[in-house]
Amino acid sequence: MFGRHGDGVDGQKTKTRAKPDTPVGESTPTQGAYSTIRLPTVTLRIPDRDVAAATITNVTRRFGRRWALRGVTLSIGPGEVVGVEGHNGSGKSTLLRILSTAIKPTGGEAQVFGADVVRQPTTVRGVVAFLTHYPGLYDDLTAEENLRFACRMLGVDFGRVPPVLERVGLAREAGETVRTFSAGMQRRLSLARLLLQRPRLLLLDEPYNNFDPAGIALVNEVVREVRGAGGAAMIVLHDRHSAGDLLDRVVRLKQGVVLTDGPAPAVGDAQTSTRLADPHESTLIAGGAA
Amino acid sequence: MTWRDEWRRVQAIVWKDLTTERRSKAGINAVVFMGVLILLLFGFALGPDTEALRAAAAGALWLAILFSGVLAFNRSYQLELDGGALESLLLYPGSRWAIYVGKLIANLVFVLIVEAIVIPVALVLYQVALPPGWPALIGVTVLGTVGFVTLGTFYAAMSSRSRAREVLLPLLLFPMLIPVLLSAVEASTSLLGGDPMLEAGAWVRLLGAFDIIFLVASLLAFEYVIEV
Amino acid sequence: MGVGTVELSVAPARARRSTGMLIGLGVFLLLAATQAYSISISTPDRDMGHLQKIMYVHVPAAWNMMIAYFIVAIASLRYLWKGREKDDLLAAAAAETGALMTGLTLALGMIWGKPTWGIWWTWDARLTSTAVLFFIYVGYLILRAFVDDPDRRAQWSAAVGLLGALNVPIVYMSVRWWRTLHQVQSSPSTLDPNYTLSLRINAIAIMIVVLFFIRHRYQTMQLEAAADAMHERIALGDRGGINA
Repeated sequence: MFGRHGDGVDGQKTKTRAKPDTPVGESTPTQGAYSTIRLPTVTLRIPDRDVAAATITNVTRRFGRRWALRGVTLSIGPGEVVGVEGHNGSGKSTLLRILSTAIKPTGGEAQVFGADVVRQPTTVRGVVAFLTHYPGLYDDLTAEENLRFACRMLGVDFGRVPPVLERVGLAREAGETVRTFSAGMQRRLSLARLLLQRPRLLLLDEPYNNFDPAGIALVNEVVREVRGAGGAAMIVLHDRHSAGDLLDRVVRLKQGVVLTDGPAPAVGDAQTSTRLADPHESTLIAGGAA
Repeated sequence: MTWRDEWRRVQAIVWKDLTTERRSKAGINAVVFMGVLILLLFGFALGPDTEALRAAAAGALWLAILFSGVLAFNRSYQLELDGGALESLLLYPGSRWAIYVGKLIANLVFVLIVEAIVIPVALVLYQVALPPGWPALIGVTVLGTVGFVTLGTFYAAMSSRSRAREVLLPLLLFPMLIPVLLSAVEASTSLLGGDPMLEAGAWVRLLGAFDIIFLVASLLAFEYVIEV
Repeated sequence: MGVGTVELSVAPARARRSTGMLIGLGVFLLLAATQAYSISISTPDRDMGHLQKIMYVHVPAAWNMMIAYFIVAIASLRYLWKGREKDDLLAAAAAETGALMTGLTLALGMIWGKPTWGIWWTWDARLTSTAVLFFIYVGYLILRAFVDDPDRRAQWSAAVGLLGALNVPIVYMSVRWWRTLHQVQSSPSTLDPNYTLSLRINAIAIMIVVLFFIRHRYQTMQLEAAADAMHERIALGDRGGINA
């Protein structure tokens, strides 16, 4: 089951969590999995509760001659929060970008709540929210203007902006241009933009990097909310510590393939984070007794 | 998505681009000065003889507009690329052509403002008197500018995201604009000379046809170019 | 678990090469024959002597340049419609050959022009339009050279190639109108019946050359794509990881 490099990283006792119904690697049918809700400006197709949040089957992706993903298969069940770890260049961001429909896979398939990312991208965009690790904001517009722009593009009412700004703690800076913001403030604004929608699948790319404890708590709070509503989340991270006990599962990528995919170890166990000493090293150093 | 939704998105993008441009301050001033500088250079290159200058005025003016205008097109995508906003922009629901039309309109406003300053300067530098039929001249200028901005916005979607963007945009754009250049210069020259509309009319029709053909073609092709 | 055997789907390359060379030889012999025939049956022109014979390459090259660009347009359209890699490769091969033919047309036109008009260049309608076309398609080739990602390169080239093709009639029309306003020397006339026949057979011969070039480049590009596919299999084959 594990790779030939023989890692025994999860040798310790793991917490029991509710496992998703869909086994790893199996895709769910797309027929009849949707109900339709009509809103004033947009019609949403809401997937039914037992459809897997995301199914990734043998996805590959190349950039020129470089293969960022070399055949990844995994799935995320509804209500699951999956952490993705790996060195820089292991394909973590690429995986998120494919799930968000920002880029297409070179090979393989991916579905989000039953909708194919290549054939039904608009449906997928309606249920996914992607927090990129670069801010993706307009520097010369104010915080409020950035959000209002997002509202107009999303087709939602401007009224959503003030509460969302309040929630991320940027109410006072609403009228300041983003150029004056620190990295942490920009991340909060990106989070705010995400909250303008009602996402069912959260894709977070290194949300905890360079973020203060209050911000980290905010991210985790949002993830809990989405999970509570039946959604799921995939979080790329380097340090599991910030996620606390949020993660149900941890997937480790290396050079574009899944190295391990298993339940997250309980917080408070002797092993905190397993460090991979060298990007090209072929053995993992198990935590605890390193 | 309905037309109203798309139009709303177009407006949002126009507003965003123009507001950003206005606040960044550097942009339009630099482009205007570039245009005037080119006019000056042409003046020096063509010599102080008044007749030669008057004859070459329309040509020099349009070249100044083309060379300074291309600066605007890459900039309009630059603001998406700097903070990585393009990816987010593409993830909103809705069509791609709304993005194209939004940027097109914003670029059009930008270039028209530049022209509003550069054209009077050209008339002064080249000692050209304003002919009685000058509203027609404005019409020709607008038609030519639409063609210019239509293709410029389209090609800049590619050039701004590749290596050697400064050279790739003129290289791809200018050969395609030769019919526009010819028509605009010929029509402008004949109008400035007070010639009857007989000659300028044919050029204006060509300009109009060009604008429509390439607006439709760019609209259809844009999604293939922006997504990948 | 090693790499295993990677099946070569680009089979008898050596057999292909020799038939290719034979066909190429045949094609060029055909061209040489038509050229020789045309030169032998035509009489020296009153004014220009033997210079007129350049037209036997110049005019067919111009006609065939249009054929190549037509192929670029169709292949680009098909690529945007169906997304098959081979349409992109066909468009690229045709664009290269078309650019070659355009360059040849221009060069020969200028060489003909120098003794005839005494100058290297004239703003004649056809010559000028050809020059614009040259730049449009060289721009296409430079774009391809600057983009590494194959998907992006294919989509961008297809869009650029289509718009370029769309502009061809507009360029010709506008330059012709432009030239009728400002009188200038005109292109050589093509009236002598012997002359017309020679032009036609040379046009066909050069068309066969052009199709041969396109096919050859197309096959070369397909070989390169197959090599990439092998590279892909090697990169993916030795994956490791739990999904292997």
